[in-house]
Amino acid sequence: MAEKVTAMETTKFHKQSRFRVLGLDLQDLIRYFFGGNALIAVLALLGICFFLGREAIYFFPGHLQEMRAYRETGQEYVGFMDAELRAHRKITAQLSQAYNTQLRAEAAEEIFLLESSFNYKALLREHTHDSNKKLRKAEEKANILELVGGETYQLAKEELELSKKSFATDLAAATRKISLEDLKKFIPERDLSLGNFKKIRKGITQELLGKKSPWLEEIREQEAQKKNAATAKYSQLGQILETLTAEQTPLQNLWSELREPTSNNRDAAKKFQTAPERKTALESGARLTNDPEKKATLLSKAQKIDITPPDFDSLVTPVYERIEEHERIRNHLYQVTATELEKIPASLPDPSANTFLQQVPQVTGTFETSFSKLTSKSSGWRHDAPIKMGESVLAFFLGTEWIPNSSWHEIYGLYPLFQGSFTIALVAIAIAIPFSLSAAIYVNQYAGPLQQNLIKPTIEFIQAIPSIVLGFFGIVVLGNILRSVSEFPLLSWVPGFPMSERLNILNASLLLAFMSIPTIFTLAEDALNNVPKSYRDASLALGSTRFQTILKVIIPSALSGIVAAILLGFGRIIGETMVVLLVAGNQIEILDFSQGLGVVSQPTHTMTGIIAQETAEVERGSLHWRALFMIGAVLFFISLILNFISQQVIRKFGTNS
Amino acid sequence: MNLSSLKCALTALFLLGLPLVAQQKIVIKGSDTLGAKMLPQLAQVYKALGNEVDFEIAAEGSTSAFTSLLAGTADIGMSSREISESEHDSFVAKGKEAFAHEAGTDLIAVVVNERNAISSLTLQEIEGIFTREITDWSQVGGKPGAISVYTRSTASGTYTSLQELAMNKRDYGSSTQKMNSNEAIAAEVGKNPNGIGYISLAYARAEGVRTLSLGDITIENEKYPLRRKIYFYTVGTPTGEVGKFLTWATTNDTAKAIISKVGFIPPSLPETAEISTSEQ
Repeated sequence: MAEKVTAMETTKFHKQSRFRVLGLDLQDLIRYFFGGNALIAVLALLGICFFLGREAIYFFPGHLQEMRAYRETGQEYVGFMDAELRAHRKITAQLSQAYNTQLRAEAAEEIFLLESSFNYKALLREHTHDSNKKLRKAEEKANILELVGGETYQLAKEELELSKKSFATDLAAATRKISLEDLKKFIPERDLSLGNFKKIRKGITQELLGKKSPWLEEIREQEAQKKNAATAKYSQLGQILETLTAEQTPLQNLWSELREPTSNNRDAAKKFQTAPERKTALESGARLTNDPEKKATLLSKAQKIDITPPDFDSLVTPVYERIEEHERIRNHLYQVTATELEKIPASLPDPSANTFLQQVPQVTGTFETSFSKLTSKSSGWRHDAPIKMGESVLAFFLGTEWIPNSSWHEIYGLYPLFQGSFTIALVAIAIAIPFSLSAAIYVNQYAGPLQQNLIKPTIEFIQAIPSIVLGFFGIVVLGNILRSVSEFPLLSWVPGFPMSERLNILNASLLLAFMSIPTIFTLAEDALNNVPKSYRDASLALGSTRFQTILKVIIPSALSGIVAAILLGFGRIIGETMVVLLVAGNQIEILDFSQGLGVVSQPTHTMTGIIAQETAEVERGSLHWRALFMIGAVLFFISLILNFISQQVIRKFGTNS
Repeated sequence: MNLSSLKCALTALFLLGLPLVAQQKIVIKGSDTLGAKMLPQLAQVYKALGNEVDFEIAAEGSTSAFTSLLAGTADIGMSSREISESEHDSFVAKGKEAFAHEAGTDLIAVVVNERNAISSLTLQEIEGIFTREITDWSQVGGKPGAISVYTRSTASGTYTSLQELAMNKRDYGSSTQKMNSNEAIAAEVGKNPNGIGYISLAYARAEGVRTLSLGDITIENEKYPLRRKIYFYTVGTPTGEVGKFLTWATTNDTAKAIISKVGFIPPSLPETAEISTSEQ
C-alpha cells in the first residue's frame, strides 16, 4: 500500500514527462542508473573475490605436485646431502672465525693503521663528494666526445681541466679540515697517535696523487709478515680447519654428481607437464606461418614431442645406487670431524677469538642433532612415499623459506612474510596509538574552535601524501638519519643500536605509523564526539576535574569507537605496499627475536611487498603466480577479519554508552 | 619503482634533445647492465655522427627484453644472458624467431665498501657469502661485523650468471637484499661498511666501492672467471634503421671504442651471421 501512495504522490508532484524509452520515463531511468551503478560495484567485488579465490585455490594442488616431483625425481635425497654439507660448513665457518680473528689479533697494530688509512680515504672522499662527482662526469663526457671530436670535445676538455683543478683544491681543503678526532670515531676501541695520523695523511695523499707511499708499503709488508708468522704459530688449528674443509669434498662431489641426473629427472617431469602445451604452441605456430618449409619443420617438431609420462622408478636408480656410498662418506665425515675436533686447542690468547672458539661445542651440538635427523630421514627415504594434501597446505603456511624461480626446487613458505608484515604493523601501531589518540583527545576536549580548525585539517592532510613519496623519503632521508642517530655512542644501550641496515623494520614502521595517524585520529575523534554532552556535564558537576572526566568518563564511553579506530588503522598499515616495498629492506628471513626489541633494526619482507615486487616478472599461470595470489587471498582475509571485528566491537560495546 | 629505467629513458631523451621531432624511433628494452650506460652513450654518439633517429631506452632486467620483443613493444632487446628454452618456445608459438647479436663481454665485479680492508676472496668464499653460509666478515679474515649481501632482482641476467659462474648453481640465501639495478647495488655497498655485492665492471668505479680480486687473480687478468657474453636480440633479421644501428654498434671501431671505454670488452667477431644477411 505504502508504495502505491508514494508512486501516486510522485506522479501528482511531477509533471507527467513525455520522454519515454522502452516504456520508462526519465525518473525511472535516473533510478535505474543509480541502482545499476550500485549493482556494478557489488558485481565487481564479487568478481574480484571469485578471481582471487579461483587463482589461489589452484595453488595447493600445484604445490603438492611440486613437492611430489621433488621426491619422485630423487632431488629430495640430494637435498639431504646439501643439508648435511650446510650443517658441517657451520662448524668450519665457526672454526675459521676463531682462527682468522686470532691471526688478525697477531697483526692488530698494522691492521689498525691500514684500516684507519682506509677510513681516512673514505672521509676524504666524502668531503670532496661534489667536486669528485663533477670530475667523474667531466671525464666520462670527454671520453665519449673524444670519439666525435670537434668543438664540443674542446669544450669538454676545458671543463675537465677545470674540474680537475677544483677537485685538487677541494682535496687540499679537506686534508686541512679532517682532524685526528674525526678519524678516531671510526675505531674508538684503539687510540690513534698524532704521529701515525700524520703519516696516514701523508701516505693517502701521496697515493691519491698517483705516487707510492713508502710508509704504507712498509706497513703492508709488516702486516703480511706478522700474519705469516701467526699462521705458523697456530698451524695446528689451521691444519684442523684444512682437514675438515677437505673432508667436505667427497660429499660435495657426490652431491654435485647426483645433482645432474636428478636435475635431468626434474626437467623430464617438467617437460611431461608442459608437453601438451608445447605441442599446441608449435601447431598454432605452424598455422600462423605462410612459409611451407617452416610449417613442415614446426609440424615435425610438434610430432616429436613425447607425451608419455617418465618412468621415475628407473630414473631414480642412480640415486639408489649411490645410497650406500653416501652412507659411507657420511659416517667417515662424522668420525673425522669428531676426532679432529678433539684436537683443537683449549683456548686462544685473543679474547674474542677465544669466545668464538668456546662456541664451537655448541655449533657441533646442533651439527650432531641435525646430522642424526638427516641420517634417519635419508635411511628410510623412498622416492614413492606418498605426500598428502595437508602437508602441502602446512608447508605453505608454516614454511620458513621463500625460494621462487629456483632451478633446483621452488619453495613457497608464507611464514617469514607473514611475520614481517605483522611485526612492522605491530611496531607501527604501537608508535601511532599514543600520537593519534592524544591528538584526538586534545582536539575534542581541550582545543578551542580556532585550534580545532587548524589541527584537524592538518592531520587529515597527511592522508593526501602519496605513499611513494613517503617511501622515497624513507630511503633518502629517514634511513640515513636513523643510522647516524643509532651510531651515537650515548645511545648504544638502546636494543638494536647501532643499526647496520638503513632499510629496516623501524624505518618502515615509523613511516607507516605516520600514515595511519589520520585514520585513527579521525575515527577516534568521531567516537569522542559521539559521547553525549550530558556525561561530561554530569561528571564536571559532581566536582571531578577536566582530566578526571576525560580519563574516567569520556574515554571509557568512547572506548569501543577507539578500539575500532585502532583496528582499522591496523588494517590500513598491513595493507600498505609502497612504503614497505621501498623501506623494509626486502630480506626474506625469519626474524631473530633473541635481542628482544632490537628486532626492529633487522630488515624484513612483507606479504604486500612480495606481491608488488614479484608479479611483474612472474609467468602467468605458473606456481609462483598462484603462490602470489594465495598471499593476496590471505591479505584479503586478514582485512576482512579486521573489519568484521571492528564492526562487532562497535555493535556489541557501542550500545552500552 | 623503475627509477633507473626512468632515469635512463629521460637521460636518453635529454641527451638527444629532440624528443618531439618526428624521426624514426628505435625502442630498446632489457638488461640494466647494457641499458644504463653503454646504450645511451652508443646512441648519443650514433646521433652525433649524423644519423637521424630517435632512441627510447628502458632498462628493467634481461627478462623484460624478451617479454617486450614478444609483445612487439621493442625493436631491440638487450640481454646479459642467452635466451632461455621456455622463452624460445614462446617466440616459436607466436611464429616469431629471436636472433642474437653479440654485443661484447662483461666482467662481473664483486665489490665491497672502501672501508673494508679485505682485498681478495676465493670463489668458495664468495659462494659461501652469497648462499649465506658465511655471515660474518671475521669468518673470512675481516673486521668483525655481519655481512650485508646485495644481489640483483630475479629478472636480472647477472643474477643467474653469478649463480652459474661462482655458486655451483646453488640458490642465493634468502636473507639477501634484492636490488633493481647495478647502480642501486653500488650505492648501497658504497654506504654500508659491511656490504658486499656484484655488479657489471662498467659500474665498479662508483663512489665508495672497491673491486675484489679472486685469490691472486685481479679483474684485469685474462683468467678472471666471472665473465659472460652480452647480447642484442631482435625478432627476425633486423632491417632498415634498426639493422643499420646494430651493424654499427657491433662492428664499427668507434662503437667498439665506446664499449671498451664504458667498461665492457667489445665483440671479437668481425660480423655476426645474422647481420651480414641483413645487408645483402
